Amino acid sequence: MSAKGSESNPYDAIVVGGGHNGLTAAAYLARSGRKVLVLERRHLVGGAAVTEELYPGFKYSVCSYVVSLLRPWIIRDLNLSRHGLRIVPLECSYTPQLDSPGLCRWPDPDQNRQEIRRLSRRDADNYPEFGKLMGKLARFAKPFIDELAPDPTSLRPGDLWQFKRAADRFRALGDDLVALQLKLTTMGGVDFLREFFESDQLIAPMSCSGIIGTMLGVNSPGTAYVLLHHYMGEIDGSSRAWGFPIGGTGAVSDAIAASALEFGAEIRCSAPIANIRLKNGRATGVILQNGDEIAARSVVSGCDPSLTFLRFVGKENLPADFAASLENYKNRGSSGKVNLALDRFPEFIQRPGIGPHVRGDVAIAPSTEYLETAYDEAKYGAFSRRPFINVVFPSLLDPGMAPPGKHVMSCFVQYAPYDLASGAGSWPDHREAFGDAVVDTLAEYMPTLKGDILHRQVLSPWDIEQEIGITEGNIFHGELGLEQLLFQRPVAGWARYRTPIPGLWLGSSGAHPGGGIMASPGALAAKEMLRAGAV
Amino acid sequence: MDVIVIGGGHNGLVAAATLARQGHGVTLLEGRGSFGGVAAGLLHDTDCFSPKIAKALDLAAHGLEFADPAPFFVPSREGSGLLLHRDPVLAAEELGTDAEAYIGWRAFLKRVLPFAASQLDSVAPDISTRGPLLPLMRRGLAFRRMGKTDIHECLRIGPACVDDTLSEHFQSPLLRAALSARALHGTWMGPRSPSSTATLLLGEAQSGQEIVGGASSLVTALVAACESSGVELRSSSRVSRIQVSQGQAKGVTIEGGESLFADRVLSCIGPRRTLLELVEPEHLPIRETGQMANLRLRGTLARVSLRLAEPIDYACRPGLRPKRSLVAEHPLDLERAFDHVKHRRMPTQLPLDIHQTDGEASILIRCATIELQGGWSDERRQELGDLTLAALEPHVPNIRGIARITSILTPADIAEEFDLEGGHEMHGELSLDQLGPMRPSMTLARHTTPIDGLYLGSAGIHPGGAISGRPGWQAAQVVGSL
Repeated sequence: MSAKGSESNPYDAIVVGGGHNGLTAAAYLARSGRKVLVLERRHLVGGAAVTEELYPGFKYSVCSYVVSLLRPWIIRDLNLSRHGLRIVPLECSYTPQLDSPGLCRWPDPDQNRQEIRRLSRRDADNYPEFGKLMGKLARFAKPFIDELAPDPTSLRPGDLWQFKRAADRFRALGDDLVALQLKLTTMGGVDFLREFFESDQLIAPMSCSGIIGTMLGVNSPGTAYVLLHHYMGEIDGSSRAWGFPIGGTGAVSDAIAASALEFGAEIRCSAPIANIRLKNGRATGVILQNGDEIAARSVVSGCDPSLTFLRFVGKENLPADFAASLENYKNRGSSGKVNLALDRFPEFIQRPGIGPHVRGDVAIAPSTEYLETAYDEAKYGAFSRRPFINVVFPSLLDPGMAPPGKHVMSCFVQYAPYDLASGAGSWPDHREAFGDAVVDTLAEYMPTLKGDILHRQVLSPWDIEQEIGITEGNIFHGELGLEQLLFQRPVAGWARYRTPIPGLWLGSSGAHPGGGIMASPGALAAKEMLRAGAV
Repeated sequence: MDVIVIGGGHNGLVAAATLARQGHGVTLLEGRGSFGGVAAGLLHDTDCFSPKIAKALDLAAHGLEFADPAPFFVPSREGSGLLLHRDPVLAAEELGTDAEAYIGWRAFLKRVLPFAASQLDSVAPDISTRGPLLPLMRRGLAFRRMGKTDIHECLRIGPACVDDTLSEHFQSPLLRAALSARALHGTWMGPRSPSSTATLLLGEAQSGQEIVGGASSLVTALVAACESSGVELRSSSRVSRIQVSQGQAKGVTIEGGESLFADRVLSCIGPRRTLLELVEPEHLPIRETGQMANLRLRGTLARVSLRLAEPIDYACRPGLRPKRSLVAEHPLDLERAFDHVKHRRMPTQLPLDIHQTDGEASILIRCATIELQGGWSDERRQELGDLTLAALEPHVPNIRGIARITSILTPADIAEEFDLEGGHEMHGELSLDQLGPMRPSMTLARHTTPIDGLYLGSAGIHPGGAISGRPGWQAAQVVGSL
């Protein structure tokens, strides 16, 4: 072991888990001159934001496949562009139908209007109006993802002040937008959208944003607010909310890792930890699975809350009420991933060709009824036989992802419940059937697909837990329900990256502001550690 | 001052009696042939009616009595079912391993519900952006007084689904089914729907003792209270238009052409029908028109009435013959039933909310959607009756021998017979965005409307609820104080 990390010369901080949030925390700490060590269990960094060549010449963004809200200030602070990060916006959101051309939503308002008019003239009129309203609400909501979550129950002066500022900004929206914001926060996606639109073919793909990564349906109350994410991206100056990183999502992690290394952080892969080391109730470093102990003044976890506290710290070392809260924390993996290597491009029967309509994301979401039925099946412990699928063709956006003329296809699939119905067996028994359901569904829209599959990777939430380590395979480290957001993420009173264990910090998607390749939790955790003088 | 009250349901009766006792000249107009609305023969739970209102209107003088609510029985095919007493100590014997958790749960409710109850007994807060901040801060401080642990718990469970909340505490599926069923009244939700814990808490905050003799006794007492305080009660007088002149309500026109004039008009029928159907469109601002057009009131209530040759006797506990019972053995039975509502289908397995009195049973079904695909027809009505008996049969094997169906009301029938828009017994679904200061909308929750002299006071307004009387009472306070 190097001199660093010894008891007499400990690291300032050890980051447990080299996902994009862990790496971001490390980069920020190193940038402030701290001695930082990142420990990653796998042989490569990135966590769920990882690119791997599982079939020769074909690169998969294995888990997460697009970036949405990666914070521009983090990109600047960490010089990510210089470290090779390049994100191309997704040009279109295409929702195919079996018996009609379906709907393409474009960045260009006129083009959009023409598309939506075919479904409903009224909706075409309302669509830009809706966008304006959402844009205003997004401007209100956006600061929340860049700062600590205000705690409405705290009476500390600083907290009261922060809460008052938020309340003032809220009131400044004016009555109509305040009412709209309250509805947006509490309503189901479909109910909310029906106040503006009548065409189910438009409402269905729009409502999908609210269910991604959750074990909820498009009618479930509380799913509407995610609609804002889409409009948050837009006001960052990019034309779309979603973007594809050149090189796959692993390229995001690699750029952050490069930044961290340049700032002087150390990164050690294939270094799984067994425990977070505690001395007199305080985190003092980690114990690796090979028995090595590494000392540090602070430990920050880039892993999910359940893994961090229940496994690495241990329930017996936690205050009883905190442990109880964590046991009630809802992880609930609900999504799977199917990655395909293709011999040629699988054209859509209703919109053939390799046009701009397939250079974005494609949503298999033909109707709200379809989406809700998919949820119903999962609710009772089975994967959806006809699932919601979000498809991206990375090789169209970055030809480096596949050999010339060949393609990779990334399919995010919902629903695949982590917990299968009792008596139904376990995921290894169902994995391939799940993959078949996905391919069968897609083949209805792309008849040539099946014959051109060279390689297929199927990940159930159980596989995601096994491979990446995320508890129950929840891509966001815990449900993004209202009760697990803001000052309640992961547990009320512990949303500010501190934990009941002195010296242990949480800087993962399980902390405010939550999941997606945003990097906010990691960055905000590091800043809070520095501010508190913990490192 | 003269006031016209539109709608002689329990809220209209409460409002009319309250205003008359304040000394106003009150005319109450009811479209149906009799008074009481959903309290007269549809809903049977009376434990939400506010004792405070009963006292203020001196309903005891008109024969109203309260008593502790009867226990609630949940039959099961295996085991001996569950007899659930509200009182935790009485309930404990039945609950076995869940007893301690149930006592803890009721203790938690006892700590947190007084705050909710205080909100139900006052006009909704003004949350408009130009509204005063001080009253809001006062309410915030009252909430804060609950203590941090309980506040955190309320904020955590409120947005969560009732099935999660109850599963954290209880093992018994019968207990969880019984408690979740109540949380779903008046909602368009299943026990897996987020925020159904909030409606559970809302229901718990309202409930207390029940009325001896049931809802009909309440109606009788309210009508008597109105008569004795000088209210002019007119049934079969359906209002077809609220007359507005220069932004001011002047009176009403009744079907048949008669016009009545008053200083103020208080509508205790649904807010949407009041504003969109009774008021000429040009008098209502576009904002409120939009709000009411978006109000969600998808009815899910149906009723099957039985004549019984002998009382319903559950095989799992012979001889009990409970007055109140719920047929649903698992929260997921309720969820599956709601799945059919969502997809606008007829449920295959009906959860039943049963109220039996001498020789009769009134069975409420809360998963029959008014939006049924293909619409409600005689065949579908018949099917509802068959499904009801089929759901009872595993628990009461002789049901077909002892029971004869005397009436079946589909949601469409209820809409028609009880004059309820959408067939919705609360004139608007209970959901977070249609509760408190948002019920029925941000600018209409405090009983006043953009039309001077026109007020709202039905269950479609804060605090909503079934047979509680609170919206009518609070509306009357607002009308009478101006």
